[in-house]
Amino acid sequence: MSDQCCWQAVNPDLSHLKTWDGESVVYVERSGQTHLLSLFAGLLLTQMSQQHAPVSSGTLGEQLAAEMELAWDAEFEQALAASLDQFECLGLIERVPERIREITPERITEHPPA
Amino acid sequence: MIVSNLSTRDLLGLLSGPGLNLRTGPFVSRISSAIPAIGQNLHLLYAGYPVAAEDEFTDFFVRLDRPWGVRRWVHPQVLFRFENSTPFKPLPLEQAFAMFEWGLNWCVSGHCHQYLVFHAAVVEKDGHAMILPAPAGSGKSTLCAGLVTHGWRLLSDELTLLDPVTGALVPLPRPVGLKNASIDVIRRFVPEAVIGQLANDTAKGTVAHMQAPRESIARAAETALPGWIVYPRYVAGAPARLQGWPKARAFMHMANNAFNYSLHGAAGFEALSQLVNGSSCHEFTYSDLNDAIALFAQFRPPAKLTAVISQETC
Repeated sequence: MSDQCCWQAVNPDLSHLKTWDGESVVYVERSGQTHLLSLFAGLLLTQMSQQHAPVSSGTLGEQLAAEMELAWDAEFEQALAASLDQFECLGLIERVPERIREITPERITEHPPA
Repeated sequence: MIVSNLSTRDLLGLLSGPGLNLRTGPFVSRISSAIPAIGQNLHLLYAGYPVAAEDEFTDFFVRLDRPWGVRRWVHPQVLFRFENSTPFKPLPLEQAFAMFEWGLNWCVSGHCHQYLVFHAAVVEKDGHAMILPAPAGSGKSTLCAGLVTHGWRLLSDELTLLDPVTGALVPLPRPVGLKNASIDVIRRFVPEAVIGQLANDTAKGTVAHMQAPRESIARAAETALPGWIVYPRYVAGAPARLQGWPKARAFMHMANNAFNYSLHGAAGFEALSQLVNGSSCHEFTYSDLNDAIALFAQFRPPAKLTAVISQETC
């Protein structure tokens, strides 16, 4: 997984995510399927939905490690990569192409159109 | 009028003529059959059920027939007809009533999508439902039969109906299906239980049905709020043991045990979430019905309701 790879939630509205005692269930409108998520995966998905712009896996990892008070080690990185890949397969998140990623609200503010 | 108001002769006349309009929970089925065992078992096990008026809306048109041809005489069989179709292969004639019960379950689970329909028993106490979702052989129906003869109200031993709009559990009290050893277990445990004819060598072994308690039939229009979801498992020799069941896992189990969860889409997800949210979820192992009933007798309505009642009382 490249640190440069950026992701965004397909549906940032988390009304179809329910969490009880750490574990979550999420309903995916596109597929009509429901999935059981671990604590790690549930928090990761919640993090993604709170982003206002596509975010790199590196940034996501940093935020998640801080929230879960976990060390960023090989095991963590593997779990993060596996979760992101799985979310993508399930249609919960999508990769953002470079040219779209460049036009984020922050960047528009930084460099307003002439 | 209820079925027991009809003489056996009148009942058989209706069944072999225009049909019997039988009300079970929210449904009316028009049942036709010239097979004596159907009439006899209906008279015994459905004695307290309302007979709907001729002009009432009928949900299911059901007919049980003996097929023509050689099978009418050699190893006679029975066919289940639903409207103009025969959805199942014929079964031996002596399994006619079991086929009727299974067929009626299929009518509900396959067609009544105004509800979320789960393969689970459901009983009620103090206005709250305890749902027992479990696969065949887990002791679900035995436990259900034990509970409904000891203070719990039967909503259904096979199909849990959840109204996705109101979040209420809708009763469908019908005879409780017992299999194999559980038939004698219930005969010993509840000597006064009314149990119909045995059907041997079915796909599920020996099957018989126990009459639903009279009070459960009389209160068939009273819905219940979510209370508990309990996954029962019979383990020979095990003490009665209740332990927490993570709600997310209970959700997935319920979704997998639903006949039409995917059909409801996001609304189904929300309805099931509400159900799980409002329920206390447990896994339960047991071997002795007395221990199980004693343990569930201690169940009290969920805290939210208790708080409301206390406020009103004060």
